[in-house]
Amino acid sequence: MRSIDLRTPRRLAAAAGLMVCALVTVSPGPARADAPAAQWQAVNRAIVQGHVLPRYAALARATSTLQLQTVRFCADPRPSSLRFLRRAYALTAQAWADVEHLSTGPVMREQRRYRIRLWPDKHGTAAKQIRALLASADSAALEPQAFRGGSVAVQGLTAMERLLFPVADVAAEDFAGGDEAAFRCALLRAIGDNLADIAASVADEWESGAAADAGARGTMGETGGSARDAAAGFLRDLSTGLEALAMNKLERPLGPAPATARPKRAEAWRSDLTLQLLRANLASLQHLYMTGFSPVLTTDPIDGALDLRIRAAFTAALAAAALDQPLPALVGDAEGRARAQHLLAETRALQVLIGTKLPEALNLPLGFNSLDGD
Amino acid sequence: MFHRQIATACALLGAGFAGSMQAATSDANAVLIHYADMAQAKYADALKTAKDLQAAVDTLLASPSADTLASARAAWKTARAPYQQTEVYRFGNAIVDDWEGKVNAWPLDEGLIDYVDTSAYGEESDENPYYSANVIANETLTLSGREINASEITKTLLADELHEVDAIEANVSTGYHAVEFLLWGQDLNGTGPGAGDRPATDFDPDNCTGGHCGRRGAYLRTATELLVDDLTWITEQWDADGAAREALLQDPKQGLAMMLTGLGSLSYGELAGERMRLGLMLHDPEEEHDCFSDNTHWSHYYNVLGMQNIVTGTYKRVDGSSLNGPSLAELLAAKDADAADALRLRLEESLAQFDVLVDSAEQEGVAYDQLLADDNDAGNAKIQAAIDALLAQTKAIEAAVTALDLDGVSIEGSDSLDNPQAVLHGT
Repeated sequence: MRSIDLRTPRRLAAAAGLMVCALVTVSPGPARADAPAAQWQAVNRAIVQGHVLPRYAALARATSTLQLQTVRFCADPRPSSLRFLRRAYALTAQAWADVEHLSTGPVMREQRRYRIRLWPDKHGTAAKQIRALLASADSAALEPQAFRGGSVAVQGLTAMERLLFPVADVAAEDFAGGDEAAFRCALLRAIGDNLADIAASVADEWESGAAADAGARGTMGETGGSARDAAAGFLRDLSTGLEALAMNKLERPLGPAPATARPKRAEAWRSDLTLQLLRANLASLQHLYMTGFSPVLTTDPIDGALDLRIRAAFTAALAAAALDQPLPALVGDAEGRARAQHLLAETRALQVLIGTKLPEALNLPLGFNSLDGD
Repeated sequence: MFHRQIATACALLGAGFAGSMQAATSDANAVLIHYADMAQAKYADALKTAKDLQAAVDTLLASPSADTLASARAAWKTARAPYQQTEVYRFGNAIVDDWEGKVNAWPLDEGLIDYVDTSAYGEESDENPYYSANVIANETLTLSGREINASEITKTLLADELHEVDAIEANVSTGYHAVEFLLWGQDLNGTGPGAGDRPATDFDPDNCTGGHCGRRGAYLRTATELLVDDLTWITEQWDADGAAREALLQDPKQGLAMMLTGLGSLSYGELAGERMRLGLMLHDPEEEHDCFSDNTHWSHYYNVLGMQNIVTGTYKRVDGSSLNGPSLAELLAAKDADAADALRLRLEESLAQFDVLVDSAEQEGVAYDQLLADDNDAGNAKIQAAIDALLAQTKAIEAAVTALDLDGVSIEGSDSLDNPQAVLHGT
């Protein structure tokens, strides 16, 4: 069974007419049907100030360091500078995992979300396009204007990971001497500049927008819409983030059986960051919940019980994510697979609470999401 | 407002409230029955035109020539029109969703089927070990560690052995797009003008180009037969006692939820997202739905027309006759006239934007893959405008769900989408 994707669940929706009448006489009506705009403003403000702004600021710092390390490395490609660059890459990937679920506001402008990272790349487009770009050695394609307007698959983290962590062991020399190596480095630098530019814009626009809009809706999310709409947007991010985690990050690599497990469908298998990023996702989603929605539930005894269930489900999912081996190594192995499936089950259980019970309690609609297609 | 509704409900409770509930239920039932009738008509039309395609393929294989190939291609395009109008039945109807991969799986790694130009296609893929398996050229294949005798191209080989082998979705050996690839071949023009250009002699054992012409013909014949078989099956599911109809009509509220889930998921996640936005971000000519034939503009247009059919209760059949009946818009108008008007209007606006894509290809000679090029700002903007129309339409569908009080209604999903455990543990 799945619930229709568009939910403004109401406690009383399924109740008989008699029940409705009875309840109207003794209670003001569905829990939060007429929750004042001020409540949603407070939720949005807490999320923006406590969750969104600090995370985008951290992403901007991480990409700025990454940019610096690409410049240093390409000026003098040595094993030590490659190590620093890879480290900066890992920190940026982690900072992205902390905001990956957010899909409102500046990150949605100019395809920024996808330019930072295209994943999953189900059709293998990044490999194809990077191969073609390296073969062409077309430096005009790396000019900022052209690079920004080109394919998203070559301009972000997915492409940089392929350059820094190829299957064959990469050496600093691969980026030094010869025209091909020089172009490889030029591409690295173009990606570094691009990421730093995008992340700085997103952070700046959130800061200035949030300041301008703080009194009205508590968020600068999409233009138009009410504070309640903006809160519903954050709820959708929370739910879709968990869905993406279960579907893209766990089910796709697990596949139907051990023999057909697909370890290379795991996120970040090249850089060996799979589990680290997955845990960062879960922790950040937990933080979003605790910052924005948990405080609303705890004002009501019935909803308070749901809050406890959701908190426990987050704890259980995070505990299941404490695997001692990389996910790609686990999926094809019977015993390891069981542990990965346990993590999937805990994530799914959490997603059901967040995707069906929480919208009902908050009386917020979830709407359709981008994962509803194939 | 809230209180007035409640007061009305309470008054009705004393004076035949049950009767009024019954009226609403029967209205919903009438809309659902007509929705099922339109499904049956659409699939029957898809089946009829697939049989016409089968006849054209038989003629092509009996006497391969530029003319008979052109006729087969024209028949394929004609067959796409009714089929694309059925896709609005996906996502909400589990029976359709579990079946549709057989007929419209996309995108595909076509190197599984036949020869490809490796300079464009490459030779291998991280995601797919069968990326260049080329069953037409190889009478023995190793699939999932087993050696498979492929000396005869049979329905079993294509449907049960090859299709989605190792659960890799890009291994598409059956359906419209496999047939499309055989009729057109790869489109090697990138984002420039032109579609696939396979010569008719690829099917001519006496004057063979591309090698293995007999096997290629057998593949085309078999894949077309399978398409007819699969469409026959799904059409039957919408018969008076068919399983799809039965599942839909179990409960009016759930039936409406299924209907609206199909509308919303096709609008947003599938058409606006997977099929359009991704291609625009990648500027990749292979990210178009009908990439061999350059028929994408029509395929998208008919998707949107299919959605409008559901809203207005009107479907124009391939024989020119019309099917009219109780519509979602009418049902919605009884609850919320503004929501109904908005939904109708958004569909009209979407259709107008997809008309622009059709005109571009048919009148101006600029096909969908050319619109995707990274230096074609005006083309990109046309696709973006169509995506934006779909997003606006999705909002109107969401409003309809709320107005019809369907939020939170559970529907039966397909195994693959909703019950990973069932898939993981096998059946």
